[in-house]
Amino acid sequence: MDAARHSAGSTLQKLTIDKFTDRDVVCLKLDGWIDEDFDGKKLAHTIRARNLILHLSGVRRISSFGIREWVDFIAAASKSVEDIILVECSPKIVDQLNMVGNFIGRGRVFSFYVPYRCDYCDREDEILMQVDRDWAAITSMTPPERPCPNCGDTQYFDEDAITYFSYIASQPRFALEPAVTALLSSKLNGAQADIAQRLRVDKIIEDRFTYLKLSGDLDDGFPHIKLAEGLEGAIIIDLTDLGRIEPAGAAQWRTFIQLITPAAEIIVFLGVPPIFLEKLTSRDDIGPLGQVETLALPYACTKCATTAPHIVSVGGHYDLLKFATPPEMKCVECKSSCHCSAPDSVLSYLPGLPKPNLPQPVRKFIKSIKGRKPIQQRSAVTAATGELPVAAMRRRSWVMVVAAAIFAAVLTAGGLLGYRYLHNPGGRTASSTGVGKLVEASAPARPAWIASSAIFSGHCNSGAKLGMNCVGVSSHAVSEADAQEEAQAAALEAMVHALGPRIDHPDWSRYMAPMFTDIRQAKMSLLSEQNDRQSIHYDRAFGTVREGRKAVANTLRKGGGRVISTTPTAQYWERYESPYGGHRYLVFVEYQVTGDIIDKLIETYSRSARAAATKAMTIFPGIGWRYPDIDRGAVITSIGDGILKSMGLTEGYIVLSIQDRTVKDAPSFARILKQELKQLRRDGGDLHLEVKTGDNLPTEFHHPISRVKSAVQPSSTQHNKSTVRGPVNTWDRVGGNSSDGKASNTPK
Amino acid sequence: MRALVLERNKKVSRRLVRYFTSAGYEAEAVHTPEHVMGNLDGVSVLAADAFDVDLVVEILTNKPAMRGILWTAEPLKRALRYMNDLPQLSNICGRKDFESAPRAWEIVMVARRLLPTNESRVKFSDFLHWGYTGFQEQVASTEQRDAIVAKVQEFVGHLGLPKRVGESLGELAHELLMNAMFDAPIDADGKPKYARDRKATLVLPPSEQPLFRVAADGSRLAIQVIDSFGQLRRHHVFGGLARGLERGEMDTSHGGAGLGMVVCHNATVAMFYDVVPNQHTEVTGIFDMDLNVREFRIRAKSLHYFQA
Repeated sequence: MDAARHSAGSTLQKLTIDKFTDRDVVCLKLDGWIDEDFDGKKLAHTIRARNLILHLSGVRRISSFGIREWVDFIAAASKSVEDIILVECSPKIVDQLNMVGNFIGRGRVFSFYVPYRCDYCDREDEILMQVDRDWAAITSMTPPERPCPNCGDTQYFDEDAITYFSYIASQPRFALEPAVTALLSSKLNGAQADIAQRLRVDKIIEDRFTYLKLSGDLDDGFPHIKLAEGLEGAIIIDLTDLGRIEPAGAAQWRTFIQLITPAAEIIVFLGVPPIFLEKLTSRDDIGPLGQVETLALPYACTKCATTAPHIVSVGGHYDLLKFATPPEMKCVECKSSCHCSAPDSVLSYLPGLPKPNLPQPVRKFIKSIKGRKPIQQRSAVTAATGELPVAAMRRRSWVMVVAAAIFAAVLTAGGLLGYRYLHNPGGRTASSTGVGKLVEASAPARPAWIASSAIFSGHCNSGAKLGMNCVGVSSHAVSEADAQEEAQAAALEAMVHALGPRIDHPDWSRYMAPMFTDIRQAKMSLLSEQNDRQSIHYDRAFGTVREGRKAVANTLRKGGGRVISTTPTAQYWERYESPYGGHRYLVFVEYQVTGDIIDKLIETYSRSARAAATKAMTIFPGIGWRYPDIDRGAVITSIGDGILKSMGLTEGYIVLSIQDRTVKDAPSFARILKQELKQLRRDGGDLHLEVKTGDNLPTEFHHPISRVKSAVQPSSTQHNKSTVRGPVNTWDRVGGNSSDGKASNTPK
Repeated sequence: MRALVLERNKKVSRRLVRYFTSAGYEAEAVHTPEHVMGNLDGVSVLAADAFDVDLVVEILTNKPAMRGILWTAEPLKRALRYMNDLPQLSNICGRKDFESAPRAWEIVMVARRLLPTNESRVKFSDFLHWGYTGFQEQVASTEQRDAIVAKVQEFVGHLGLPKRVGESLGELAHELLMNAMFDAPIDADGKPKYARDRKATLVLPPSEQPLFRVAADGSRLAIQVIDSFGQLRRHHVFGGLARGLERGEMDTSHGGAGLGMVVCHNATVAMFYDVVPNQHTEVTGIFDMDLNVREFRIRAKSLHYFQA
């Protein structure tokens, strides 16, 4: 149970109805009052769909006549739709469900708000519950207590539980169908609701083309490594049904793009939704080969109030899009002219899109794919589907599911094998080291500390007194210096990798580890999967790992790793003949690190420091895998109300400098921030921070700080103005006793 | 005038006797139904928990001059069945639980009004402690109705009550005004003038304009609407509310009046309907500001109908 919304202020308004459509699903979002002005039957006649979703979080009042109109609406709508689902019902709607027997006819409630209150703070919150997720609490009618977000004291459920849950607990539990969740999570931008829509990936491989259709949420369940395997040639990614994008999913997406770029000829994005446009269309996000061919933008019709996604060709409308202006479209419902309703913040990304230039065969393939029946009926492979929703299960027999799975497997295998045959006709599988015979070595035999001869590797063993012995092995490099650098980086990176699990700190696990763990694994896996060492793919994967190790080693040396000797404890090298002329060098290095030093490293990287209501932690060298350009800084792990929060900083951001002074680690973050704030409050000026907020270039954050004037002590005759006000009639403040009424304003 | 109080809890019964005595009665308490029959001489008001409503109804049916007052810690539904049919039984007071007496001010006010000598109407100020504040307006149009509803929510907000309470009381104000503006006005033939189209934009002549009042005394908040037609009847109140509380399929055959009554019932701790047929209808809702929403929801409600 999560997704709290806080009640703040009262805004009175009549009813507004927004309509969102996506194929067979129509969603009506109602905000305001349902009263005599609500024309239920008229509204119902505008609905043509299989699923009707009613989003009711904004309904705050219903009059008795409004209820009657509503019941008429439900009755009329039930004739033209198969299913009615209520989501995010406000407490007022829950009241009506419990009061009026046929309030939603044969409709079902999926999610609803439950009111909580903290008496101490006088704070009200409404917490969203879903029947699929919170069923136990609903049926037991025991909503859990929760801490007040303001004071931490207990908030209590501010209703009579037996009454409040009576209707919803009596309906069957169900899950939403994928098409419904897709609409809610993407088109409606339902950030309040935790309508988790597990990602589904459909894949079609034909000739040198691979078509991927992603439906659902891009979160940490995105199988980026698995999905990247074997992707080559022209890769077309259809994002039309993409749902929400979580930060972890975005990070995995970037890794995915990095992984597929080496083997791709072109990467084409279709149906890019606003959320993707906003979050993931920078150069790093779509890669150097990426081209956005079409967008799926929401368009709102002022005539019939329908909002529906329209596919916009980037190439076809490039001259408009480069000015952040989407083209006009025809409404899907009434065919009137309609306008893009995406917010300006989204549209501002349009000019940054390059004009797509797709080869004709790619265009032809896309056209043929789009001309086919919906992919669900003949999908080649589902890479990440989760449990089938209950509603969907009801509709599909097990026979169909098995048959579809077999069919899918055959298609997949055929597609993959066919593709591999066409593009690897020789079947080259032999791996070659690319070197000749050994001509020289630094010692007559390999030392005993070399336990493995695997080239370009690093590993650590436990050393004496909880220390570590880490060995790094280079590749067959063209110079001894290069080999030495590779070996050292491999050993130090292995040390960093072994150090991570020893850091037992929740902030480290929460903020630091997720920054690099997956990307390290992905890059390592990609390299290990390359059998053909002469292929360009191997070269690219090799280069990625080498640069990653170097970045990690560099960060370790500049940070806490200064306690480690700059030169390895032991070193051994071999020189080989190269079949292409010259020589190749293979270097082995060993670092022996005592337990004391390991303890110091753990202490360094567990260290937090606090300033200006913000807690930060020294960056861990492992982030070199993700941010090779960063070797110092402090990660924000907790941020309270204060200047940094007001500047827009948040947890997970890496502070690199404050007032151009480099932040080396957490203590320096706190020290510099305190010093600079003190000075700015004395002299006034602009606080500026250089912050790494993601995979883009570091961002500058600025905030003006006024000089604090010295306090003036009030004289003994002065009074605090707030304490000397005369009697105040509360109602006077809102004009209640002004004489605009015809009768006396004092009730008799 | 004698009042007989049937109350099993002796402590509560002593309080009730005190309340009735304060209202001008010679009050006496009995603690079991068996003792009622032998104590009915000269009794003009029989008061009991709704648990004993069958006995009260039986006695009132046989004694047409006697009036009944009920109290309850439970939902009104059971008692409403009898109240709709028996004009002598038009008052029921909610109480917190079986160990608590009903609100003193409410029992005293109701008991006093049942005295045959009492002919004066209850003033709006009688529902509140002295020193209250609020506003009143003559409502001339649907536009003004919406403005008043907004103003009520604003007023409640200024009193520091939860937003949901403001919305609920706004809903109550809207409901009462809709009834007073669309349902109450009748033409010379006694036919409703505006009830056919409740979506219409109305501008009422001064003679048809209802008076709206809202005020709070720090503990209680009262909302009152008065129209000058006096068309509301007891079956509208008791029958409508009984239908509305049934939670069955919505029955629109009675013009949906039940739902309006339920809206009023849900937004208040007590509803007072005062009707002088063909002269005026005065509807007053009381909200207890000392209760939080949860307490308010489970608290038994009061319902009073007075017809001159």
